[in-house]
Amino acid sequence: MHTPTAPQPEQGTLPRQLPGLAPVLSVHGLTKSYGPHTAVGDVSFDISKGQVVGLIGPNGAGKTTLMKALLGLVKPSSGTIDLLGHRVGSSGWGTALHRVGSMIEAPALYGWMSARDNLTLQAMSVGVANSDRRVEEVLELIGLDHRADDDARTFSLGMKQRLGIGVSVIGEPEFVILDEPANGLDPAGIIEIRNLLRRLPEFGTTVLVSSHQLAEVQQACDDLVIMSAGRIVTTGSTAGVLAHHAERTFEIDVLTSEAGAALAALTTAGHVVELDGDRLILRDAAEIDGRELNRTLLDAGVIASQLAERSTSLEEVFLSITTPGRES
Amino acid sequence: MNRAELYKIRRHRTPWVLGGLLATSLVTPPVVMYFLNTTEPSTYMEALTNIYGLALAMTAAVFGGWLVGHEYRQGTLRRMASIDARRGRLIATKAFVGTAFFLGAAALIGVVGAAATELAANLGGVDLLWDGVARSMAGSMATAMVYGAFSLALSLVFRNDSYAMLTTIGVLVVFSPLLSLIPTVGDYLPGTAIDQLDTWVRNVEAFGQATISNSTALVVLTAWLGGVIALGMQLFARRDI
Repeated sequence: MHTPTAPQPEQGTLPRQLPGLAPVLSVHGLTKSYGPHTAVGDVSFDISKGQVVGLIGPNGAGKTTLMKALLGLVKPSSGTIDLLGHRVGSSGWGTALHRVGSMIEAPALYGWMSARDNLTLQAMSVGVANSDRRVEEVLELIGLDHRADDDARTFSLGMKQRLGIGVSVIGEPEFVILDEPANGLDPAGIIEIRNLLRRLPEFGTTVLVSSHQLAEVQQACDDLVIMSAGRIVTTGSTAGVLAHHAERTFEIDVLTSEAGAALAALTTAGHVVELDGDRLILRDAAEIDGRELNRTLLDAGVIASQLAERSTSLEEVFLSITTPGRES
Repeated sequence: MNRAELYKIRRHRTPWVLGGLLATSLVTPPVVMYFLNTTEPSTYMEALTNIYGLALAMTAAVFGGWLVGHEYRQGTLRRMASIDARRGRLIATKAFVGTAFFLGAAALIGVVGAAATELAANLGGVDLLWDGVARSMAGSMATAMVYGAFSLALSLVFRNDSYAMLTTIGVLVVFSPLLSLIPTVGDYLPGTAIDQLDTWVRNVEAFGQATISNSTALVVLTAWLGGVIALGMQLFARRDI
């Protein structure tokens, strides 16, 4: 288990990169300092085509600074970024940005222009052919077709967020960078965003998304980059990170009068058990078979009212990794 | 990119509000003069050329600052810079399209103002002499371009349209004329140089008594404008967005 006070970054290539295939994004030794404060420190990772990668970390972890650096909005103090075959900041980089869609921090909208005009402007800027048709497609995709001619300044936060996402994908980009896309959305909107993120790779789009909605990240993202205090704490497939950091636990509810007998039976069987009222908790239960536990209890004359196997969520893994002094 | 920039200008309200105000400021005086039975032709002509000169310069200061400043204010500069990383090109496109739009609109509104003046005078039985008016209005447009360029460059420095507009108008309209009263030093201020060149182009009386030649005034103005533009572009290219 990772020790938060002394992070051991697991930096490098995310799991599904095929050998010999150039990554879509390659970040190497990226550092961005503001005077004595290091916002991003020595960050390295690669992302392959078609991945949906979640960038997560607590506030101030350096996620937004990293995303801005990928777009050339922030100039790194040191390190290199190669995106879509171009070194960020090089002469060829300027036009390569047309192939990248982004929404950083808040949606950047022209408030006095309608949703349709905002999308049309972006389509013109990135050179979308047949932009009228594409604008209508995107309006439908983001569910704003019924408010297409209203000024963006009149929209709710969630609608602005959806329009911001529409602006970022209208050019059918090869790489999409989304910073907190679910911010301000209602549950239905969050599910729509999740579905959209899952669909983008079908068109060959690679996605880097930051979010505090960890349950959504867990469902939507193939891979994770977890940052804390400007550094990468861990990278890997979502399943891999969960498997590596997660803890399998059994929770057994019994009658209060039978709790002592249940504790004695399980302890005798070699399990490490915590008693919390009338609930018995078995941690580090990766090798334990639930049926075996039930049999042990029955042999001791205890009938469990509930025997539940519980896996650690990404939220718990995240907190255990990034919160100083907290361990699973 | 030029097309997108023109689309953006056309779809915003600010340019149309500015154009409306400029047109109103040109059309109103001849209408008032008609109802006041003004019979002096020079009054009509001076109203047209002087109001056009002043209002156009103010409009340019606001428009120039707005061109980039509103992008900072709305947070859309990040969106712009995320489309094309060539920041010098972004600003050059804005300046080029903004200048073309401004000059076209200024010429059209100038014609509207002149037509309104001619119509009001004609209805009042006053014959106007149009000699030198085109030259005067062209001079006003040139002066306005300088105001606009100052304001645009200052919006890059301040990252704020209000500060850019206020500084442009404050320095060129308020402080420069006042400081120009200081011997020698005053001649090398941007406002003094603009005033001198403006009077030369428009062939009218100067506000103060300049002691430098027109060519020196041109060098002074170029140095000030070039300096502010260079500073703005340098900061825009280097700063994080």
